Amino acid sequence: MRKKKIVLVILFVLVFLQVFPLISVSADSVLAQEGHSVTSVEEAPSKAVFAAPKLKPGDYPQLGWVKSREAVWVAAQVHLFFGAFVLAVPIFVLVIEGLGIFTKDERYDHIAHEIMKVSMTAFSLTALTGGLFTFALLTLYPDFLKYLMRIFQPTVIFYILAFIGEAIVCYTYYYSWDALRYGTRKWIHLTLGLLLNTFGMTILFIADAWTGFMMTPVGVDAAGSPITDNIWVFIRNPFWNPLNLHRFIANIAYGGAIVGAYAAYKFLSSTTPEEKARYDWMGYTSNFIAIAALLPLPFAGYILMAEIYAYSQQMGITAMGGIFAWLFIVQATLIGSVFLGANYYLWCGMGKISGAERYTPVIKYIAGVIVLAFLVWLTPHTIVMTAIEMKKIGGSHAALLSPLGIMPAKNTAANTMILFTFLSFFLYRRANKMPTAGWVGAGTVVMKVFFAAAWVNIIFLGIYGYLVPTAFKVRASVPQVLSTLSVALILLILDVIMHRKARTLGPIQWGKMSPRSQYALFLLAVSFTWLMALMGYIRSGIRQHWHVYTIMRDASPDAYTPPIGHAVLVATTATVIFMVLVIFCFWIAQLSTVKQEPLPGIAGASGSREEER
Amino acid sequence: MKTFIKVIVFSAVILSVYTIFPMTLPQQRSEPPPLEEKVGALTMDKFIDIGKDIFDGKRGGFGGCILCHDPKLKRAPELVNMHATSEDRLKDPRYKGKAKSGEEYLRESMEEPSAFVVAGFGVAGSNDTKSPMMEIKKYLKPWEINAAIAFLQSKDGGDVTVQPPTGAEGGGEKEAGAGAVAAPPAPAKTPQEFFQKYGCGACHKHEKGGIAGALAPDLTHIGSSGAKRKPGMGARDYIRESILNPAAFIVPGMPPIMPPGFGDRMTAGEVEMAVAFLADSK
Repeated sequence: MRKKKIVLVILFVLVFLQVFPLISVSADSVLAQEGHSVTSVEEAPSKAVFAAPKLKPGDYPQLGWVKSREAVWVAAQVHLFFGAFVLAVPIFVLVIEGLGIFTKDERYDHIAHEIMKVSMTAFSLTALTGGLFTFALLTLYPDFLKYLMRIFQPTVIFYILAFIGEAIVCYTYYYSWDALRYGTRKWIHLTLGLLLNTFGMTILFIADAWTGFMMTPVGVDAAGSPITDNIWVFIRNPFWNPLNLHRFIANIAYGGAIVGAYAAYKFLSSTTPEEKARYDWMGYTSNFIAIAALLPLPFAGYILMAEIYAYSQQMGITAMGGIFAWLFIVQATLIGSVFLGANYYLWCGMGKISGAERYTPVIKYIAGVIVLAFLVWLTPHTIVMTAIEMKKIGGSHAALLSPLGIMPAKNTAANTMILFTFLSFFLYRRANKMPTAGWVGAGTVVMKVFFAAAWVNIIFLGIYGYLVPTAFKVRASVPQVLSTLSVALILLILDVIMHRKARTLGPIQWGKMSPRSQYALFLLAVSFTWLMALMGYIRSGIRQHWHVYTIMRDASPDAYTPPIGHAVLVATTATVIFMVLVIFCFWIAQLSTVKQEPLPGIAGASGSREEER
Repeated sequence: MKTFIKVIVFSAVILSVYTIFPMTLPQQRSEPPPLEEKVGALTMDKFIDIGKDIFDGKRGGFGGCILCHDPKLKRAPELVNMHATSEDRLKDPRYKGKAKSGEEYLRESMEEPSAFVVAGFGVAGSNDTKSPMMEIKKYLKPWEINAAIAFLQSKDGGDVTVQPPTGAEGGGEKEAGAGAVAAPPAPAKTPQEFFQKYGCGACHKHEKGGIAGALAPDLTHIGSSGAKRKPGMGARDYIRESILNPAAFIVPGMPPIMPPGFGDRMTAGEVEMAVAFLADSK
């Protein structure tokens, strides 16, 4: 009980650390300070009139040798890593806990509880890094923070309340796990999980509103003065919902990948078959969650980019055809690695399933198709080249390969990768079952025809995209996505029905996984983390020299857009810091299970140990 | 411990690959446009170009008239034939403003938008007596408002009645420090001097011009290739447009990296000299 109180006090201090600066800048002090540069409106008739400050380099405080942008960049990125992780964990813990109730399989409950345990320290670190991030902004970019918080002043209160609610419910949810384990009480516990997610989503959506406003500001005039008192206008900026959707899905994939890495490490360190089986199963479940979320992620990303183009074609061109174009090639490399890693893990997993050998010959074709799709995704269309490079390829575009660099080819490649990754999962889940229904033959033919027709349709629409204007190209992506999703849905439904009363070909030998396969899970975790840092930079970087795009200019000495090498170094630095801290979280969780042997002569020691036993 | 070290090494190798690969790619740092710009003695053409930039929202800090006066959006009246329309508005029975000429009407519309509201474009419930338009004078200097007027008068073939600023009027206001007056830039005398003065060689190549950049299109034969870039537009017009408004046409495969305000720093004579030289580069 005392431990809980201490934890709560620490948490309160951390929350206070994080929110205090926001309160302080969103209060009247801002109005009092705005004289010189907070507003460019010379004759402000009332408090309601304020504009985005027109800053000069001297308006940005410098802290000795600290590089302002890098400091804020790393602090923001590490905070986002933790934020994504701790928002994702309650989502899939809730799902796993629900699955435990539904299937009456205690393993689900154990794994859900363990995942919560290892992420508890991460909640505190999220608050801590959030505090550091806010402190860095307040110290190094005070005028920008003041302006943003003035625009969003009412939301700050909700953010604080949601944060406090999240902290209280999170600890209640975790510490009441055993007390509310069975029967009606379990439903109370599940409701707590739902409440926890509600608070988490509220925090995410509020923070997304701030970020979205920086990208696609609305509700202000050209000078940044609000033209409405309706806060909802600022919140519901064009970028908001696409960002909410993308981050929601990506967080789940990310959380799955991190927990998968934890399970892989525990698997490799395990010495008993029981432990290996437990962590093998945990790794599989986490990987399944990560992949399930990964499959729709490219679609969410597509919506995000479409919204950017719709808001500002210039910003879209900067991202896809300008100096950021190369980073999308890097992104394609990482996504390809993630897809290949996830598939490799599934293929290795089929080795422990009796009956899976039926599908072994198919795997090489799946691998071939995924690699081909990966290469198409990787092929650029417009990139910065030197004159020598242009001379070598005979112009600004490669005659043969550049057609693969445009959206119809990319959409086709992305859908193909998703479709065949689904196929790997589909074969995995049915590997040790033999259907006994009378319509198995016909059903299998229907499934094969449906799969083939969908793929042909995706390729046809890809080719069609070359023959029509851009607007139709974009529209063609919708039936492509629908083809992919409908295949996943219909095949799964048919398969579930077909495998009712199916004969089992043998048990799944949990724990019989090669150590090599576990490294695929580490690959996923590292790739996801670094990818998040890279994409976060692209998303933020395409604003170029604007704090708030076209409204509030960044006049600091760091307003330039850095070279790719500079950006990836920062991304790697943030990734390393996060990984070190995550290892610390896992180590702390592990430490709580270690008990020191009692020293001789300590009164009551043996009695205590007996009680514990 | 052995497992821990293996995992760390594996992760470090992956991270190294991800970090090193982008470092082998072309490294390019993109500088922001300058915070302050020098506006010396302007030619009328440059003055109108600045007005067009204001209209299109290509001058920092101002979103542009087009945000509302876009005919597709219909948020505000379409600004066509304003040299004639502005005179017609004065004859409107509803007009109660103080303007006596088309030029004064345009200025009044920007400084006091509610002086006259075009029917159907007033604030809801105001019976077209109150304009939703912001007071432009809060965001633009007087000479910038004049530039916008010059653009509006000229864009559909009308006569321009406002004059470009002198060095003191324009440059003085933009320069940091009270009373500072920007001296008119010394014009470049040769194309080579022009290229040096404006740093074209950082990105462009031109064999006779003595520059060898590799980030933007090679201009050695721009006289030939420029004539084919935009249907119906000759090499001279295309080159002039590319200098004054680089975003108007981006050569396929090239990044849109040329700063938009480049033309603002050049004199009309310099621009025409460069256009003539480049158009002859075949």
